[in-house]
Amino acid sequence: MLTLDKTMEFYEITVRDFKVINEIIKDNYGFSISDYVTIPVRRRLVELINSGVAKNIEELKEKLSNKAIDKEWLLSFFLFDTTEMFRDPSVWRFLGAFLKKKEKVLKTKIWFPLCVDGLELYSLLILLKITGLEDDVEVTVNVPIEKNLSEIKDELVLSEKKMEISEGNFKRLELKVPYTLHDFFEKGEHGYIIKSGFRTQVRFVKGFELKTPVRAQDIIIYRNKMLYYTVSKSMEIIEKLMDAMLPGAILMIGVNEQLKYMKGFNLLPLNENDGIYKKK
Amino acid sequence: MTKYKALIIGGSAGSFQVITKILASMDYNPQVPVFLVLHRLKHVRSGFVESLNLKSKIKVKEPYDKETYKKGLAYLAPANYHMYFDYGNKINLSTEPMVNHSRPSIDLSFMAAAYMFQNKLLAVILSGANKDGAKGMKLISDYGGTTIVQEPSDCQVDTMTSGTLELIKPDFVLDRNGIIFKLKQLLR
Repeated sequence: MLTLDKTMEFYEITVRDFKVINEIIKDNYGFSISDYVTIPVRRRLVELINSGVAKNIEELKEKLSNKAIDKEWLLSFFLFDTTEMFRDPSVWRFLGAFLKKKEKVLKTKIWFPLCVDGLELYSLLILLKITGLEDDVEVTVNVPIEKNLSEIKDELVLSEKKMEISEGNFKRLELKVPYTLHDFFEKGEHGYIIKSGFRTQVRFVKGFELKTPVRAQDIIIYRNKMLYYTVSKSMEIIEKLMDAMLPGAILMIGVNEQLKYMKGFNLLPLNENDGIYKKK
Repeated sequence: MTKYKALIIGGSAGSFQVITKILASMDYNPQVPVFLVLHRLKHVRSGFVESLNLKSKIKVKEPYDKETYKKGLAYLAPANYHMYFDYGNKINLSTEPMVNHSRPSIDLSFMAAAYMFQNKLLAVILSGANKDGAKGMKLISDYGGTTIVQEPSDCQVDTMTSGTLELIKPDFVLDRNGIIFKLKQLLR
C-alpha cells in the first residue's frame, strides 16, 4: 500500500505536468485527456493520484510511462456518472409522448452512445415498460469498459439517497400510472437492485461512441456528456452522431448543453429548453 | 477602472434577501461578470432567475455549458450542476458528484474561480447553514484575491461565514449594507 506524499488538489497540477501526462497517455494508452475541459479533467487526475496509484505526480508519470496502470482502470477515471434516474423529468415526459405518437411501422431505434452507469438506460426501459412500448423499440448501448458493462447488464444498484432522488423525479413525470419507482427494484444488502425483465430488447456494445458507431438511429440519447469535452471534441462527436441519425431523428443532450456555440449542423431545436433537437 | 476580472458570490440559507439587495444596488453597471453560486432545490429549474431579475439592476441568467461570459451580467449556477470557469472566458457546467452535499458546490466554483482569475478575483460569502465555500475562500485568499465575508451577526444562519473565518483572515468583514457599499467602491 502506497503512502501519499499528501492529498493533492486540482490546482496543484501545473500546465507543464498536464502536458507531459497527456503525451504519455496518448502514446501509451491511445486517448487524449486534452479533449476534456480544464477543471474536471484535473480533478480526475488528482482523484487518480489520491486513489493511491502513485505517491505524487512524478511517480504517476513514471507508472504511466511504464504502462504499469491498467488501461480500463485508467479510463474509468475519465468517465463521468449520471447523477440519478429520470433527471429532468420533463425530458422523459417529452420522450414518452414522442414515442407514443410515433408511427409503429418499424421498430424505433434508440442509441446511447456513451453509457457509464446505466441510470438513463434503465430510466428509458422503465418508461417503455409502463407505457407499453417495450416491443416497439430496439436499444443499442455503448459502454466503454468491461467492468461497467457487466455491472449494467447484471444488476443496477441504487443507493438509498439516489433512490430517494430518483423516486422524486419519477413522481414528477406525472404519468398517471399505478406504479412507483420502488416497484421496479428489490431491496438488497447494498441498496436497491433493479428487477430483471428489462433486457430483452437491449444490445450492448463494448466501446466508445466514436470508435464503434451504429447507423440509422431514430433517437440518440447523449445527455450531459459533452459537458466534459472541449468545444472542438464536442463538434467532432456531434458530427459522428449526425452520421448515425436518420432524417427526422432526434438528438437528446443535457438541458444546459444547448448547441448555440456550434454552428453549421443540420439540427433544429425541437424543445431547446430540454436539450432536444431534430435532424433536418 | 476596476482591477478585478470577476465577482463571485456564494450563499445558502438566508442569503436570498442579501443577494437581491446587492443586485438591486448595481445601478453602477459593474465592469466584471458576476457569478452567483447559491444552494437551491435541485429539481426546480425555473422561477429562481425570474425572482432575482425582479429587482436586479443587471440581467441575471443561468448560463448554458460553454457560454462565453460578459461583464455587466450575472450568471446563476443552474440547479443540479456545478459551475466552473475555463480559458477563453467560458463557463463550464458539470454533473459530478455533490460536494458538501451540494450541487452546485460553492467550494468548487470558488476554487475554479481562484484558479482562473487569481488576484483579479473579488469574492463574497454570505449567510448559509453549512461550511461549503470556506475552503474556496481560503484558496481565493491564497491566490491573492480579495475576500469579503458577511458579518456573522448580520447572517440569518452564520455557519458558512463562521466556517470561513476559522480558515482565513478576510480583507473585509461587513454587514449587508457595508458589502453593497464596498462592491460599489471596488467595481466601478
